[in-house]
Amino acid sequence: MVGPAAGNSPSPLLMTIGQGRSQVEGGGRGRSLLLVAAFAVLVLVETASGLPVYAQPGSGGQPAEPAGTYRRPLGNDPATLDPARIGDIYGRAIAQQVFDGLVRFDQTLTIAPGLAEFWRASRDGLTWTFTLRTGVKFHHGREASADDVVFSLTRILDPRVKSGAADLFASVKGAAEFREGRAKSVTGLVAVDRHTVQIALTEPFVGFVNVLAVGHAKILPRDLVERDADRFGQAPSGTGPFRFERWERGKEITLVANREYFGGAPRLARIVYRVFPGEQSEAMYEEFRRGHLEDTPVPARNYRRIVAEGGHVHVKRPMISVRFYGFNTRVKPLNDRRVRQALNHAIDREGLIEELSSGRFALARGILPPGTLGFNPKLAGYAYDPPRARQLLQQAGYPGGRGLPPVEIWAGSKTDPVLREHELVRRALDAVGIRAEFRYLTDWPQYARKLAAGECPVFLYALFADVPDPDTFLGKLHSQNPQNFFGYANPTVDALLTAARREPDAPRRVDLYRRAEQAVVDDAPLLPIFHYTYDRLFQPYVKSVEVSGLGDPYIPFREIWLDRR
Amino acid sequence: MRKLVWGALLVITAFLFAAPILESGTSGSTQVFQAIGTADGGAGGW
Repeated sequence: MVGPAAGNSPSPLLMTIGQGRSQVEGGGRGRSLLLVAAFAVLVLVETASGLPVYAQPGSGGQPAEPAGTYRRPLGNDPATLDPARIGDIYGRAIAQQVFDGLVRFDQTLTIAPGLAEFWRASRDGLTWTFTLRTGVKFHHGREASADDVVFSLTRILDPRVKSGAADLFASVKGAAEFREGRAKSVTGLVAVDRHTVQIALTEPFVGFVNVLAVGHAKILPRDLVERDADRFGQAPSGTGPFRFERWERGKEITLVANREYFGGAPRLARIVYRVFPGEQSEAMYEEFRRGHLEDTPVPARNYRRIVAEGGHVHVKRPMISVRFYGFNTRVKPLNDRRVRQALNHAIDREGLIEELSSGRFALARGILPPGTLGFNPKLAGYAYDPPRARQLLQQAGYPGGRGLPPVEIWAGSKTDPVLREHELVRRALDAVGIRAEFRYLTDWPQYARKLAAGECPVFLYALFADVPDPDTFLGKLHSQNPQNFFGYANPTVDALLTAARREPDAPRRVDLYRRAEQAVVDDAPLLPIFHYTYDRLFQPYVKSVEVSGLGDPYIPFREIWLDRR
Repeated sequence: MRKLVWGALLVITAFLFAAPILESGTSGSTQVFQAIGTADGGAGGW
């Protein structure tokens, strides 16, 4: 079961993902901001002077009691705060603070205890036993028990919940029968006693504990969810360091400190998430500059000037993400691979990144981000080649674009940079004979529903990992994935992805994913644009920020405090 | 005395065979072996 990578040498996974680097830039005060960047073995934090540091703990002044309000911008109103149902970074950012899982990823993305204090796997790798902490209470006052764990994990497998993590739990004994409606419970999930949970698998899987750290696998109070699951998604209750207080739709979500938190009370008294629908980064920055927010993304316009201005702390590091235009491969003319390939050849992505972002993002040739197991630096992708785009259109029966219906491109953001980008895209497509029509829907829940319904022929979208694993990204291209908005189905890709998920040997797994990625790129169900860089400004009085490669939603706010002396 | 030593060895051997191989706090329970995950979506704004 254990592959060569699991011996005494570091695994390829860690070696690869360790290539990322982080930077903290800013004035002297700002450098005391703590940044513990992800991935165990390498020290990934640098100050502006280039001197590596691991951590610079804030010196003194930390409040003994939770104190201060942290005001965060949120790029869109979440669709739900129910962890099993969340499919966006907006809801995830909040749920991470409200709930706990059995285990969690620490700053280095290594597994650490959560609600489970201890766990062990049987010698054959088939049975996992988790011992829960005793006396941990949900925010509504009841103690979390093994029954809640069984309920929460069963729920992820419930087809009615449509959880994006259901496939991750497919190896739990009885999962298939439950998902197909042939059983009322999952036989492999058992509450042995009030504080012990046993999970039986159908096949040995040494990485199973990682599955329990994903954002969906939080432990929910059975009583509240059973009473009204939809309401629970609007007003959740967990065991996490912050307690949900209030959600003013489209405007603000407020969390308050859980002083009883088993890991110790947070240092902040309150977090207020202010919603800026459609990712209005310039409006966020303006509010930050006025002192009304504690952090902000850096607007693309005047990026270099803003970063150089000072008076803030600039945190920058690579992110495990990809941003792209997805194609609904089931609708005409996008059901023709040649048309999709033509679209890929028509756009000068390097030029676009340089012109719009001052080159701060990394060009995406494929799907897997740098730093992910299986990332293929030799993947050629599609070069900017308008003559080839025209040729492909001709082969598809649209010489010079004649007979080609306009291509509808949807976006969930309508900011200036997105509009400028679309103008460049429009011109580039026009040059090869493709007419593009742009549609905007900045109400995120509506946009997410439209995507799920397959109503967006072309859609602007970004994926952000919750585990630095290739399956995180390529898994979306599996025909059975509930978030396969591409309508994409290729039996070869399905087989490669399924085999890769089961393959314990890391080099063989890499090979399977690379073959799957190449096949996907050849089929062109999407037009990759770039991989994000985590790039954010913090007020200089914000202390103990820890950013891993998973980015913003996973910042542990329990550690953060405000030094306003 | 010899019987006692053999008996003790037998008990230790039996324990080693019956013992679980992966426990919290050991490297075996980390993603060194294999990770698997999901991704959340976002609007893709700048």
